[in-house]
Amino acid sequence: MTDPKRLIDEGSAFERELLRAGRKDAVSQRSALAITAALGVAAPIAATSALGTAGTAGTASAAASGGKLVTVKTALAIAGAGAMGALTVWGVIQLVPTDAPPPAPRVETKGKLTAPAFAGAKTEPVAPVETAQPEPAKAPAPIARAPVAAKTDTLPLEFETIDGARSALARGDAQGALALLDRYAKRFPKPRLGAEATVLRIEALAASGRRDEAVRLGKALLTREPRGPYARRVRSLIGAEKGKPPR
Amino acid sequence: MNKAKKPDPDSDESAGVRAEVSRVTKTAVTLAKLVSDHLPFVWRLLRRCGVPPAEVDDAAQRVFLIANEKLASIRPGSERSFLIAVAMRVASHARRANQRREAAHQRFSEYQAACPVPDGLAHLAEARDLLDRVLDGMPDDLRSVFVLFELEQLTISEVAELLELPRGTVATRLRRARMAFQVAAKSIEARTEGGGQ
Repeated sequence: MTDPKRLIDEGSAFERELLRAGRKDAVSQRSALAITAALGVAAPIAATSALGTAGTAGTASAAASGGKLVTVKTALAIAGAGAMGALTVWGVIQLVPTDAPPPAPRVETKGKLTAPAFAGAKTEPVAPVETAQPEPAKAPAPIARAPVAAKTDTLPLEFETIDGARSALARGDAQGALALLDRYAKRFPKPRLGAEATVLRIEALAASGRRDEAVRLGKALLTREPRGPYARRVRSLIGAEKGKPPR
Repeated sequence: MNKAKKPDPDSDESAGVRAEVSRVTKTAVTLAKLVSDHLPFVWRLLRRCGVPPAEVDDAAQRVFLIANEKLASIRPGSERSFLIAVAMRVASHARRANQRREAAHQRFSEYQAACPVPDGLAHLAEARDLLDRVLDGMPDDLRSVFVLFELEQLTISEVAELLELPRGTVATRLRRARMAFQVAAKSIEARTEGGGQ
């Protein structure tokens, strides 16, 4: 027995209009950011450039420096208490550039997931986690909607710009990605997602045929951060061998 | 000046740390991929299954939290089916919590009697609002079949498997749901043509 044809194809014009409106409904970027932040999965960065490497490489790199070790210890402490707590920390690890000092910790509500970073006002940063062990989450933390953000906090805006560049690159628009990254560099002279921006720029340069520039930039990054969370990816992008200092 | 003590990367402790971090981050990566691949679809499904706009973000979060708890038991390739099943349950719970089910028919009747219909459905949001109100007027068992078949474009066999129903039951529910949808749509359209009241 075959399935009937769908109303979205063969219904009346009015029915099709209603159904198409439903089909076109989509989660807003703000909601997506809030949900992913609340789950502790920093989607836009993690889903692309960092996803494959940041797990082990990022944390291993963190372990190599005193400042980052606290973060790793926190991850491990929380891992014992519940995976979601650790995921939250993992999200934080993704968002903290390796060359930047860790943001001031906030007290997390015990037993809840970290409040979503971008909830409500689009200006709330991903909150770092206190070293206290949260209990395993049984219910989702309500997504905060209060627009309470420090005026100086640019992380959500940085996040959006970087995500825009990533999306442009994903659809093959390397020039568009580079334009966004140029804008990012001008707008955020002290970037918190500088490493992510650099890796995206390397990818965009390579994709647009400017391989020499990509290699130059990649080598500079590897010189600065030979064991950084993106080192493996950058080596892969520019064809550098591990263990050999970039020339 | 105090010199920071650097951990020995070759020590057993460091190896243990790396192994543990690797395990934790592997789980995180799996969840991140699940969210990245399926969030838009899960979010839309929740909305069409009656989760109010103000609650849909929390409901989506709940779906993925549940998925995270069950990561190990989700068969590769069946992630979408798993999420649909969870989303349907979460939506059902949200509806009950809000007593939407009991009030749905009444609200739809009130809406039909009192709410002006936007001219030509110029805006998607208005069309969506109408769609949701039509769906609100359906009993849950018809609504879930209708949403999965007509909006999420699953086959009847897939819907039957997901909802653990015989294929014939799904086909019957789909016929009834389509009839309900068409009657409601015609009613709204007639009012639109009759002057928007």
